[in-house]
Amino acid sequence: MLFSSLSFLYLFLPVVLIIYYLVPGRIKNIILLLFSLLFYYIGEQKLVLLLLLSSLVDYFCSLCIEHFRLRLWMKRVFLILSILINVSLLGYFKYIDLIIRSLNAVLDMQLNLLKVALPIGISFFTFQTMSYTFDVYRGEVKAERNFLDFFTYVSLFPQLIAGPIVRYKTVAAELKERKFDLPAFGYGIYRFCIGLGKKILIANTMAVICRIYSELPEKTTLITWVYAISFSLQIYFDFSGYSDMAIGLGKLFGFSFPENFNYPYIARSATEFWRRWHMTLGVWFRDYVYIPMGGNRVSNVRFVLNILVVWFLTGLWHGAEYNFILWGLYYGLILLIEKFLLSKLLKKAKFLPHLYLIFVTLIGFILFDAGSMSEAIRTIGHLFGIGASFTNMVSTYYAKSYALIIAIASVLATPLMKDLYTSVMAIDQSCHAIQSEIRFRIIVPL
Amino acid sequence: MKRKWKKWRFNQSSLLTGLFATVIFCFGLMTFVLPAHTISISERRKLAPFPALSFSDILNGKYFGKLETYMLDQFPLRDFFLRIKAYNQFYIYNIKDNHNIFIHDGTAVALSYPFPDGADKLAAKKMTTLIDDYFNDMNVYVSIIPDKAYYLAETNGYPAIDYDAILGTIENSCSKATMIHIFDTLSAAQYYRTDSHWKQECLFPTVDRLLTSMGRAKPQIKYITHELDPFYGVYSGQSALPLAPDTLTYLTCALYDHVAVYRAAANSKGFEKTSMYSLEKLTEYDPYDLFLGGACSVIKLDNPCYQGEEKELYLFSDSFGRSIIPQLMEGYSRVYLIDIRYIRSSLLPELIPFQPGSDVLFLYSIETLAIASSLNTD
Repeated sequence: MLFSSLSFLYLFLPVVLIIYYLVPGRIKNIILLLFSLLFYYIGEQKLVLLLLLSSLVDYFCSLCIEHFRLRLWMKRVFLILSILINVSLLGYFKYIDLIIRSLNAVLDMQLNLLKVALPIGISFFTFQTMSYTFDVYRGEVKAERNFLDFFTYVSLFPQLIAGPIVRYKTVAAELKERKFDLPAFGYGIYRFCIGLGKKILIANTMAVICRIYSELPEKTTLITWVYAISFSLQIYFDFSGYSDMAIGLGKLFGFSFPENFNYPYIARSATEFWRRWHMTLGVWFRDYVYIPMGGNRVSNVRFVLNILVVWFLTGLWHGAEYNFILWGLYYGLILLIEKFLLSKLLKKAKFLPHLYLIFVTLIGFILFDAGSMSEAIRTIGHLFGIGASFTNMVSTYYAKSYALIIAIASVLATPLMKDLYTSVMAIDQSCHAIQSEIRFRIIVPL
Repeated sequence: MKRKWKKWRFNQSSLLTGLFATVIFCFGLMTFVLPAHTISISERRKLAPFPALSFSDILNGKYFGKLETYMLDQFPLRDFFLRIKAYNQFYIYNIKDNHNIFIHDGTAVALSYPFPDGADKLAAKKMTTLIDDYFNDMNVYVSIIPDKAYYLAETNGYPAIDYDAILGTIENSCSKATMIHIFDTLSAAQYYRTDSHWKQECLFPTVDRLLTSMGRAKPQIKYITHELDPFYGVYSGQSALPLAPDTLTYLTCALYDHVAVYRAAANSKGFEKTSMYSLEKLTEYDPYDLFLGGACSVIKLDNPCYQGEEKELYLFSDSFGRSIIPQLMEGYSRVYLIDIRYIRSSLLPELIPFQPGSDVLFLYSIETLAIASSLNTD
């Protein structure tokens, strides 16, 4: 069930809100849990058991880790058990066919693909449950004894299928007690509507351009640029829209989820871009993979290895296809180049870093969206006029037709409107302050 | 100051919460409480009814999909919201077409670009198969009906398909058929502004070209025109923009009083008598079904007034054929209109006793050529 679907907006959400706010405090989590399971059931039916299994594994492993907190090897056994089960679940449901295809290609085998259906949100909830177990292992958070509360955290429908990746410690206190706060509720509605607008008004329109591009028999340089920009905007508004909706929905039920996007396209480098794009995933890999591997406090060779491993995994997390791995490694490489070669230049220059970042991102998303390596190379070639004419009548028509919405989306992808609003509000407040001063200092004495 | 700010935030939140609650609760409730519509006039299709509860559907998740479809179809003020969306596309985003339909001087035109790769070859192959199977001893002709985009797209800066290439492919691939070119007998004005179809009353030059090319005399009939308005064509709904309605016109003459019209029965076993024009279709979702009662696998028209040696015409066509066929009647003793999107070609001999020496005309629109895979040749 999508947040933008009518059955969610006009049936599921009103019903869950009414019941949630009618029942007493201690039952609220049960209501949230039941509706979250229904939400998942609507999309995945029996695979809802997978959600239960993943939760049970980490619930028990974490309890055991805490129980054996003084016996390091036992703690490790349960941590490894949790990782093994979670990674196996993810590996089977998401990566098994990629593994089989790779084996067939490398070892010249003839294994049949299993064509396992990918459970919605498996990458998100597996990472959430794993982060919980890691945090318990590190002693950063206490193991949850109430399974219902823990299961509610894992299955919470606002963030179940598209993030943000919420760590247990972020919402641990709110799982126990939440108070109704009208301004927070209002803010939740505001964030939800902003997210819905991003998805419906911008992302869906950008998706139309991308579909048109894919159907065009002749790709020109102009239309390939239009596609590359549109796809980058589509994926941003789609994903950040979902994150906004999730954050907004969280607020409606008294939860504060972490921010996931912070105007990534205004970054001045790929390094900064990834501090602004899908932030909860970046933090996850930093805290649970990169830093445990030694981070940047290691030799250069090891640092390079760490970066490449993290970005290989980041790419793989996004999808079980080679192009996603390539996309991840591409960013790993770019980050290394920035670290060793470009950091000074990117800091000094004014406008160039923005252009550089946009270019790097466009190429990255072409890799991300490509069906194959050859398609990606061909599309990148078309950007530079290799194997494509500059434009034709059809390309010019679509470029003109969608120019305004691309321009609008590009502006909205920056904090320009937000800054403008803040400035207007500041002026408004200053005017009020001056009025008050005049009233108290001049009019009242008179 | 702080207290004021807090109060302002509180008021703002109350307003937002009230508005949001009103919208989601009221529209949600109305979707289920208001009586469900059965058809959408603007989109010309049946609307989904409330899905019946079924244990198996809930178990396999299909029920929730059906529920979403129901809500999409029965949402209150649906047409109004579709119109807002269309206005947004056209006038705010400045996108030049909506659902592949553009408006030029009040005329809605569908973009046929891009033409599906290989669809013309496939159509030609299917026509050749039919010729080889049934019409080796007959006079076979092929003619392609252009869409409005042929006259209005390229000249106004919209993408257009390569019509010459399509005609060339059909002509070269159907070597056993004689091509009759009719593009020059038509113009954009001869099509309804709000619909994809041509106007029956504007087809005289086209009819003359077809009949004379097939060796028949030009028709001499005097027609009486009947006007029905308002006629909102298929593009009215698809574009969701307020297009001025058309006037649907149909022709009658003394000959038509004598012509007997039969439609193939639903089980394709025999024919049932019907009329040339089905006025009852005007109140249904596709008024263009007025012509011969709408889509049917085979329609037979007997012309008892025909003088001379018996001559039959087998017209393979689509909805365009239904409106032109009355005017072709004068040249034949019997005409069959065959729409093989609705019948497998192997079943045709059970319905039609093909007569050697008859004329065969494949008269397909560009739209039908684009979906040539829907032509059921065995």
